[in-house]
Amino acid sequence: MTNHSPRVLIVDDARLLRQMLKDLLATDGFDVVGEAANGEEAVQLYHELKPDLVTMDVMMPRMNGVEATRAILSEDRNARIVMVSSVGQESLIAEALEAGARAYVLKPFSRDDVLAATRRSLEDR
Amino acid sequence: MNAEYFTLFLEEASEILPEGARALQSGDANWRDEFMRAAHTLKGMAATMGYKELGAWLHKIETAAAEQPAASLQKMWQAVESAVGIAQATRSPQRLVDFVAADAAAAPGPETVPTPAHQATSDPAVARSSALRVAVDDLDQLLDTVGELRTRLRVLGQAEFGSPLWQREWRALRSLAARQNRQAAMLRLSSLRDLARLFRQAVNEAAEQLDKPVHCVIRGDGIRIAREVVEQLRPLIPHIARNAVAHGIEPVETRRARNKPETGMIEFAAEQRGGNVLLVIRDDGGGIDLARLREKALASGKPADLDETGLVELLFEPGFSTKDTTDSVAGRGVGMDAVRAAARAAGGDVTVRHQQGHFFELRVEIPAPLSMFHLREIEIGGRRLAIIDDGWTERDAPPEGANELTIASIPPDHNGRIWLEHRRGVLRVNAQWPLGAIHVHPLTPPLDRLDGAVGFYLSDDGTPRIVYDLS
Repeated sequence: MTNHSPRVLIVDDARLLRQMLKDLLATDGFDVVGEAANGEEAVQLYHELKPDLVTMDVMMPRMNGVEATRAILSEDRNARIVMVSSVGQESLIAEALEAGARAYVLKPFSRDDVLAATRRSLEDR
Repeated sequence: MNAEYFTLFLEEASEILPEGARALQSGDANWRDEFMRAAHTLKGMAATMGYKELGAWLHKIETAAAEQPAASLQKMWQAVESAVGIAQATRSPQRLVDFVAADAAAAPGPETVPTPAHQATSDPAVARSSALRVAVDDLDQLLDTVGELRTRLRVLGQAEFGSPLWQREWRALRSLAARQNRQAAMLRLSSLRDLARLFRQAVNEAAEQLDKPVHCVIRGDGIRIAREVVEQLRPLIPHIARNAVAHGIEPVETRRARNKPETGMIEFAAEQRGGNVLLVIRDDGGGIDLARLREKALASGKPADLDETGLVELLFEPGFSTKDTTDSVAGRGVGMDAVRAAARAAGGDVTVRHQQGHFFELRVEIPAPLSMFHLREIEIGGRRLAIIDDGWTERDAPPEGANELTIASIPPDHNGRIWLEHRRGVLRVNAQWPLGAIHVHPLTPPLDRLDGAVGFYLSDDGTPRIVYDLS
């Protein structure tokens, strides 16, 4: 791990899942700097906060996670985005990864899965 | 699952459920999309909370939302509303956990109601049985891995052969296959938790019966050993616990006279030590009265010139110990012969350490099963390796006067910012993270000559990394 706490933006339309991810990442030394409930908010907050990492839900109202991923990467091609998604959304996951997302985690996620994916995506250059 | 998340789940579910119902009644052009999204969000929440059956049901609803008429979707949705309502009224997640059996059956959807695959866990009486719960959890983890494997395979199928995405998925699949292997191997193991619980119970019972104040400490009971060995030890544990209280811990007056705390201390402590699991059962009682033991030996026709080791060995002789179980010295050995037989059958052994007037320890050593080790991955000077995780703690600064440990074949890194502390000293590293239980493979020549190396394991990206044992 890097020595400063990585700053992370959590994007999910379910408050419960945002809270769970927040607790999980905070106890592992991440600094959760923002939360967004849909793709539009995510793009706007990314622009304002410039976090080191984004966890991105796939299916959300207004703008979905794949579109938001594309929008963020077109602004910052080094953005590190981890998709958090459910079984049954394989083609959306593939789309997001082809757009440049670094990794993905499936719901229901385990602590180990989330930490492995976030760690991996922070290490990849 | 913590209570705060349960409350959060209920709050949010009671916002989403009316949204879904509204979409079904609205007749708007995009009602299907809106309903599907509500079902999808709730599905993710339920699955993450571990409400598997409810999650599966919502998945069915989400899929059905693409074509079924609003009326049948409404019926399916009502089953969810009713389960959430009951959970809210009772402030208990039970109805959400038991979902299929109770609610979906009462409100059949357009398709047949799925058979509850996890019915065993739905029965609260069964779920409380710890042996089954452990096995079911392990099995569930394995099934989750299988599920992810299938999803990743589908993603791989959609990726262009050899593309970066394809390569990444391929690597991930390899590491998932390794994880699946580990999880399958874990099914053959059993933690010491059940034995520890049994031990504590027997200590407390004996302490109450004999009116001796005793404090029982359990450590390392999460360590796993082969299931058969646990089963063999199970019937012996109450004897050993009882012996420690009855024949180990002195009466309060004696303890006072010996300047010891009135409350006796009995420990059940397991740790991984190199390739073995060591279980130590220790009491801070009177140890062995060697003079009395010698008298007893002579009376049983044993040779008069037995040394201390020979005398203590007598405790492992079944005939010797069971001859007179009320005798405070010989009674000590009851069950010890059987413990030793079980340990030896598993390739281990049992020994005794004691000091008269101070303590008695029964040390059960059993080879760690299937080369499964708890590992900690570390980075030293840009090199990644793993060490056996037998009690390291992370420190930001070196504890004063600590002995600095090194690994023979790796140059020490003087810029490392993390100190890992162990009872033998500290190790300076750049980065570190615990890996959990991992299958370690034996090293082949010439690597087997590496000092301190015990094997290698395959990391997530498929790279082999050497495992060192610094204990």
